[in-house]
Amino acid sequence: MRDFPKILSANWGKENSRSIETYLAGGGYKSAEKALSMSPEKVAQEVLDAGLRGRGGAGFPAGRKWMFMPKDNRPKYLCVNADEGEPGTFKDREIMRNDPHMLIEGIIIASWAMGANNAYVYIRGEFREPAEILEKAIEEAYQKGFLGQRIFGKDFNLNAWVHRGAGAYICGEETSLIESLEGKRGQPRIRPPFPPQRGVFDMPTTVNNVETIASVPFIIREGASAYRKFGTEKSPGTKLFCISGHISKPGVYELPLGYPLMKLINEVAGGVINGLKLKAVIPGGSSTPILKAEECQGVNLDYESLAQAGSMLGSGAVIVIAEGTCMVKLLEILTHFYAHESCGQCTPCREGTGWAHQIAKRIYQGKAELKDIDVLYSLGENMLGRTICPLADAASCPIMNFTKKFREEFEAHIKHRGCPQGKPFPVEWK
Amino acid sequence: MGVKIKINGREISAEPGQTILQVALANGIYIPHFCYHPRLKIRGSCRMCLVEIEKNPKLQISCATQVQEGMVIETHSPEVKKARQAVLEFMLKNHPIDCPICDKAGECTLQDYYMEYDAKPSRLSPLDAKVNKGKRLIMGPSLVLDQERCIICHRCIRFMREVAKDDCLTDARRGDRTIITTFPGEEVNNPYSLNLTDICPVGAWTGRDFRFKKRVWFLTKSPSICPVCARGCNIEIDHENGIIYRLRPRENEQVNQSWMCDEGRLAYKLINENRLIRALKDKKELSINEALDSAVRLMNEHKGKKLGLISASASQEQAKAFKGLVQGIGGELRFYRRRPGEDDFLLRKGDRDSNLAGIKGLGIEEMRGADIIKFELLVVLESLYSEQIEPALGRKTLVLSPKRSEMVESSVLALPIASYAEDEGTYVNFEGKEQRFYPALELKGDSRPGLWVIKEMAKKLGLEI
Repeated sequence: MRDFPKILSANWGKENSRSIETYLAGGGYKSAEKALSMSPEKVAQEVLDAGLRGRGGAGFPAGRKWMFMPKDNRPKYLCVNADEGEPGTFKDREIMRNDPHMLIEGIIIASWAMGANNAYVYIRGEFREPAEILEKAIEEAYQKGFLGQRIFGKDFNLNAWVHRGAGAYICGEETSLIESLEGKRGQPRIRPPFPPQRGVFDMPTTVNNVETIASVPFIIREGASAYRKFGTEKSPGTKLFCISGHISKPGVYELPLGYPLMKLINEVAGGVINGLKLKAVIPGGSSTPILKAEECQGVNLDYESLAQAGSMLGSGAVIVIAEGTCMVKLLEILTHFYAHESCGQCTPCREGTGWAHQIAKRIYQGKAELKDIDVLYSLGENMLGRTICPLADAASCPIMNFTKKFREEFEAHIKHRGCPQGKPFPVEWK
Repeated sequence: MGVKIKINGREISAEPGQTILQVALANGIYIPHFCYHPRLKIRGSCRMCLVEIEKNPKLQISCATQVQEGMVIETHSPEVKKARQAVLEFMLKNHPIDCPICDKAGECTLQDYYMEYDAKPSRLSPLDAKVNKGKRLIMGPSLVLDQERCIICHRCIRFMREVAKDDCLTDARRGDRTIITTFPGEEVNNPYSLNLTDICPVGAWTGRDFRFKKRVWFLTKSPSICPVCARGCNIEIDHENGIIYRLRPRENEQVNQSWMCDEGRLAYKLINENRLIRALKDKKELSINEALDSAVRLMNEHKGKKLGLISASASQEQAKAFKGLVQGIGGELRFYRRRPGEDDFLLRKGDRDSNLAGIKGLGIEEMRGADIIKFELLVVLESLYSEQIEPALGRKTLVLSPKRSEMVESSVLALPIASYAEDEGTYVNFEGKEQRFYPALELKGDSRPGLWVIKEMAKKLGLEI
C-alpha cells in the first residue's frame, strides 16, 4: 500500500503487532491518558468534530451517539459490536487480530466519554482466534493498569469483557446483540426505548462498531482537524475496505473516504481477476444495492457519493462481480443467506425470506414461470420497511435490485428452463 | 391533559401514553392484530396492525406507537390495506390451511382476517413446498400443539411467562423454521394452561378435552359465573342441545381479567353427567308434585329436632328462601362447605364455594360434625360441586340436589333441582361482589330451580318466606 495514510492499519505487519509492548512502543495508550485528562464532554465533542461516522453500516455520527447517553447515575455500558456478519465484510477481524490494543484504547476513551464502567466486546462465535487474541490483550491491559480500578490515577474504573456469540447474523443488529448479551435469544427489540435509554440489563448503552472505536485513539491523539485532513467534507477520515469476489488481490485496504471505487478495483486491488470484464459491484456488503459496471464509473467510496449512485457505503465490503457471473445464482445464494439468518420474529421477514429463496432457486433451476419474477420482486416490496429491524430491508435489497437490474437474465433462465451459461461463475468464487 | 389526534378523519381525544391501537379500539375503530393482547406485553412482531401516520415515511405498528398531539392516522388507506394483505399472504405461506379439520375454524383470527382483509387467490407455486413442523404434539396433560398452524405471535410464551409465571415455553430455530416449543424436558403443566387455547389466534394450541368434539359454530354461548371457588370468574357456557362442550372465560377487569383456571374450565362435565333428574323416595322415582307433598308431610309430621344444611355454593336467593323455610319448620340452619385449599398466585381461592361470603352475610353459621347427632331430620340443599357430609350419610335426610350424590342415595326423599347452568341467581364472591347469573340450558328432566322447590314447599307448609 503505497503512500496512503494509515490510521487503523498503522501497526499491521509489525512484528508482534498484537502485543502490548509493540503497541506501547508506538505511543500506545497515550491517547487514553490524554482523553482522561480531558472532560468527557470534550472527548465526545472532539469525536463529533472529527466527523467520525459509524463504520458498521449506518454511518451515524459517533460523537452524537455518545452524547445521547443520559447523565444520570445509572450504570452505563459500552458494547462493541464485533459480530461482523455482513457477507463480504472482514475488516473488524483484522483489527482484532493485528492490533487489539488499538481497539482497547478506543474502548477506554469511549467509555470515559459516555461514563461507562463496563464494556463488552460482543464477538461472533466463529471468531475464535480473534476472541482469544482480544482476551489476551485485555489481560495485558489489566496488568498495565489501563483497565480495572483508577485508570491513569483518575476516579474512573472500567472493566472489559469479550462475549462470544453463537453464530447468528442478526446479533449484529444492536438490540439483538443486547438481547444475546443478556443471555436471551438474539431477536431485535422494538424501539423506542433506544439503547441509550434502556439497553443492556435495561441500562443506558451505546453500541459501536469495532472500526469506529478503533478510529478514536487517533482522533484524540492528533485532534479532529488532523482526522479531517483525510476523506471528504461530509465523510472524513479513513476506512477499511474489504474487497472480495472476482478480484486479483482480495483483502482489507485502508483508504481515505472518497477514494474512487474504480481505482480501488483497478489499481489498489489489481483489477478484475484474470483480466475479466467488470459486470457489477456490491459496494458495501450484501445488504447494499448492487451497481452495474457502468453505474460504478465516477463513484467515490464515501457515504454521499454512493448514496447518490443509488447505493450505500455500508460496511465497506466491496464485492466484485465479473462478466460471466450468473446473477440468478448469486441471488439464490444471497436469498439463502437471509432465509437462514432471519430471526423468525416478524411475519414478513420470517416467511418472506424463505419464500424468496424458494423462488430464486426455482428460477435458477429452470422450474419457474415469468410471473414468478414478479412474485419474487413483490416479496421484496412487501418486506421492505415492514419489520422491527432492518434485516428484512437488507434481504429485500438484492431481491428487488437483482430482479430489476438483471431482469433479462431471470427471463432467460425461465425461457431456457435453466441457467443458459451452464456454470454460474467464470472463475471460482472467493 | 388529553392528546388530540385524528383517526380516519375523525377527531379523537386520547390519554398521553396510550397507543394508537388502544385509542382506536376504544373508539370503535377496528385495527386487525394478532400478537397484541391487552393483558400481555407488547411484542410488535405480527405486523398486522400497521397504520399510516402523516409525515411518517414508513407504516408504523399501532400496537407500539404512542399517540402524540396532532397525529393524523389512517387505518384503512390503500397502502395499509396492501400491507395487511401482504402480512396475511406471508402468514398463509407455510400455514397448512387445514381449516376443515381444525377445531379453531369458525373462531380463527387468521381465517376471519383472510376473509375480511385479503380474500385474494394464492400466489404460491405448487413447487414451493411448505415448511414441515411438528403436528399433534402432546405438550402436557391438557394441551396439543400444531406447530404448522402457528403464526409465531408469541402470545402463548408471554402468557405463560407473564401471567401463569411459568417459564416453560420458548421459540426455537429461525426464519420460517421457527417453532414454539417447550424448553428441553419441560411440558406445559400449569393450572392455567388452557387459557392458551383462547389466546392462540389460530388452531395451534388446542385443548385435549375439546379437540374434535364440536364445530364451534353449532355452539350457543351463554354468559355465566363459575361456581368452583370463591372468585366467581365470569365465564361463557358453550352448549348445544342441552349438552355443554366447553367453558371459556368472559372478560371482567375486576374479577378474572381474561382468564380462568383449568379446574374451573373442565368442571362442566358434572353439568352433563350423573345428574338427578327425577325425584326419589326410598330409591323409587315419583313425580315432582308427589315428591313435594311427600316432603311437606315429612317435615310436618316429624316431631323431632330438625336441621337445615345448605351448601355454601347455593345462590343467595336460594339461601334466603331456605333460611325462611328451615326457620318456619322450627329447625336450625347451618351451611357446609367444600374442603378449603390455598389461594394461588392468580385467581384460585382457597375457599372452594361460590357464595361463601353471601351465606355468611345472611348470618348462617357453619356446620360442625357434632351438630348433626343432635338432630333427627336433616334437610339438605346440595349444589353441583358440594361435597358429601359424612356424618349425615345414613341418617333421616331430605335432600334437594342437582346430582346423584351419595347424599341422595342415602336419603329418604330427594328432589331434583337445577344446577347453576340451568338456574338463575346471585353469588357473592370473596370480595363481596354480587354477580348475577342466568340460565344457559333448559331444565333437565323433572328438575326445578332450587328457589322454586323451596317456595313450593313453603307454600304447602303455609309459610310466608
